[in-house]
Amino acid sequence: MKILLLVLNLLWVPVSQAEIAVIVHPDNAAAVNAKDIRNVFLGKVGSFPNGNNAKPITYQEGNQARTRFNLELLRKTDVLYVAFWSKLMFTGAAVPPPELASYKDMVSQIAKDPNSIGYVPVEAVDDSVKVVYTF
Amino acid sequence: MRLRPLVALVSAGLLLNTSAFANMDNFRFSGFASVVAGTVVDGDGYWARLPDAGGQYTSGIEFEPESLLGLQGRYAATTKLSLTAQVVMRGANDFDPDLEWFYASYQINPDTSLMVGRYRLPVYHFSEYMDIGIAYPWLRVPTDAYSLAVTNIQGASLSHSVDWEIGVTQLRLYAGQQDTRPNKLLTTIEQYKTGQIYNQQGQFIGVQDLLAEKDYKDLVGVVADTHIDWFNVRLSYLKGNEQYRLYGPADQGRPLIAGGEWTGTRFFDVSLVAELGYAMLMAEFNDYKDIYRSWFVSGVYRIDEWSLYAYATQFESDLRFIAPGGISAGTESPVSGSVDDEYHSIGVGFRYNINPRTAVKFEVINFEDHGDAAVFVDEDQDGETSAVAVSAALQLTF
Repeated sequence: MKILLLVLNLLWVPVSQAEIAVIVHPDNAAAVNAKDIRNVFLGKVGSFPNGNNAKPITYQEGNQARTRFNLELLRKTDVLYVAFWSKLMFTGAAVPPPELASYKDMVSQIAKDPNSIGYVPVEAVDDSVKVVYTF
Repeated sequence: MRLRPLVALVSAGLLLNTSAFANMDNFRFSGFASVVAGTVVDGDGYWARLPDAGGQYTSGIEFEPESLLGLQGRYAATTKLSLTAQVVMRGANDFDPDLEWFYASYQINPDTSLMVGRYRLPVYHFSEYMDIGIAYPWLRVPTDAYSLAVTNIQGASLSHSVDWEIGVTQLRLYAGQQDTRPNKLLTTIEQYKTGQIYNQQGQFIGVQDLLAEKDYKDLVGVVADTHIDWFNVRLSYLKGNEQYRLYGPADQGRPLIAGGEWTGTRFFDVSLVAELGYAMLMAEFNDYKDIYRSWFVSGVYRIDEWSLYAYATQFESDLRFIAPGGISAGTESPVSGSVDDEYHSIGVGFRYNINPRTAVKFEVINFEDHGDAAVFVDEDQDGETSAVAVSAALQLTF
């Protein structure tokens, strides 16, 4: 039990205070700002400012980083985020970003795909990905 | 498009999921549902005039007029090519499954896509997702401004996003055609307008067996949907040709009563949305050449999981052939007579989010009928069919 608590403690990242990093593949040379990230994650555009295909990735509902990312960068509560993507998905306008379970999965996925873009607490960033924006 | 579509969609999903060639990652299955209970608290009946003539409330607490279940399957054949099918089961149609959307989509480049098949006609702000209750705050989209006589068309649609310095514009150019035989919405409108039947005691006992059809061809439309930070403006324009036909009862051999000529038509719609933190303000206006004009305005205030809202909406047609007092008073000059269909509604309600994918809603609507023609059940046969109705709903997506 102590080991389990220790592991949980090590995994715990106080996201509500932690800085969040928006990450891309190291080979992605696109310069992005908050507006670009918002447009990509809300399906308003399908590419980075340099014209390359953009594939946003997010987390499953309940993830603290997702809640903060949606609220601060996309300016939507989780309710409005789901409502927004339900509209696009059921009208065939766009497909919502895939949802991952963990920060480890996110870093691993971004490191594999040059077109992907995601976000993690800065503590979870490693050399396999590149930070393009923090908040 | 019937062909036992629910069975087909589910079978296709099972087939894809079990086939040696299928990749589960390429198949996405999702859905939406609304369970709506409604009743009339004042008046002879309330009809929300939804597509397929849904939304009719006359007695007791009714669950079928607006309840629906939608299932959508999307198969990504390649990274650029996908196939989407959407089956909707509506209480208004005894929950018979209907394959409403079925189209192939090709991603030409990251910001441009082509859709070919059967899809929703995107004339109004909400016309493409008025079935997806979880996507908007109201219990139903204010229907006085959403008199859709045709909801789905067959054709092609090209979409393109333009990212400019201060906003993003999503452009859509589409073309298509559709025959609606019968047209359930127009059939029901005509039945209550001119075909209500009463017994010798003057009680309403039903409607005549009238039948309305409408064919649409050469439809070409454009939508420009622009988002600038907290502000959204959407412009929609459609032109084409349409042919309306109204037939008499089947036992009389369905004689043609009205219509039968192709006429040029156009439809224009503009909507404005302002997202101001906790509040949302919205207005929409549309004009259907020689047929009607309608609008709605609404304010929504969000507090945590609650959304409180109010709206006002109005419809006014160009038809003037029914005399004041309804069809029982006879007809009048279609040029100098008074307006047949003129009504407005005021609605207030709330939405509570159980979780991001599930909400309950409650609404009271006061419908006031000022036109000469009856809109729905008219017990006193004076053409005035005002009503007050209350509704509660559970809406979700999965």
